[in-house]
Amino acid sequence: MPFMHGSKAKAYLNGRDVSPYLRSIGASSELDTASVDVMGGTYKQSVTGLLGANVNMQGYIDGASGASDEIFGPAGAFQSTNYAYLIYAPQGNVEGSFGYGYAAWPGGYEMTTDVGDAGSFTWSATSDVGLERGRLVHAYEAEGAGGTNPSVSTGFDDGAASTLGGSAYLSVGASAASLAVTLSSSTATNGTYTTFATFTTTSAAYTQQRLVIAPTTINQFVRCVWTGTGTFAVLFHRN
Amino acid sequence: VAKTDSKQYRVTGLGLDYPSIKDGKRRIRVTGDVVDDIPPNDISWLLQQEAIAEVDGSEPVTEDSEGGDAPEAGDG
Repeated sequence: MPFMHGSKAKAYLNGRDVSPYLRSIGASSELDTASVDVMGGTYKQSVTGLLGANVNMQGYIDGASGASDEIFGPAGAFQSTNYAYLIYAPQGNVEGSFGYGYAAWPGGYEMTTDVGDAGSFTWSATSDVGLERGRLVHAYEAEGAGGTNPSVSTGFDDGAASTLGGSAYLSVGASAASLAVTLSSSTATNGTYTTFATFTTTSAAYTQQRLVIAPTTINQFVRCVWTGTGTFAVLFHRN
Repeated sequence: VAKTDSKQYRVTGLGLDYPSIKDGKRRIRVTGDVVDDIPPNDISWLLQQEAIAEVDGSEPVTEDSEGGDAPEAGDG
């Protein structure tokens, strides 16, 4: 995929496309290190610890029903007792493209209204699962019937099989009716696919699920299969 | 004419989606279904990954087939 302009980025927070309210998204990750310098050495030495990830968004305040203030502020993600589930697609809502998944705790919501500027906000969150990089096996778009992505006879080629499991995110938008989504994998693009992840069937709008996929064999080719209808995105991450 | 393997297999994983050796059309099968038209080349790795298990011909009805676990539905 070529370079793309930052304005193409998309973010789906708890099932809602929040991109229309944002002017920037900052995603960072860090790896703890601890010094283990000892006498007689020449260079500083460290050992690595835990991984962490943060996300920071800046956007414009919209107080309408279901708009930015309700999504990001105290009425929405900010004071939720549940994770804020986020799918971040730096190069846009493109099927097969890469993205990141977060199960995060909101840590800050700050509004700024200045006489010389548009009312704006910043929102930040810290992920409990690091930065889970994966593939958008279903872009955030509406489906009027069951189907398969990328198609009934092919799969997304991840290059190799893996055995360490992974995770998967389902972001459901404005509507859903008996939406049941599974992920399956095969050793060949047009081969036999075995299901390795099944999301809970849902008819609830603006919801999100994250599946932890226990260590198991996930073959090279992966695809997304669904029944029912709805607007949704699916991100799959391999460990 | 496609050849069929006389052996039957029960879907033991979360589900299966494969091109039937009977007519080349794709089949979707769920846990517990019994199938006999899986591509032969896939059987070994499916067994290895415990996605299917061989059905013992001498015991076609097993304890976990509550209420009569009919073999697969029509091939549609």
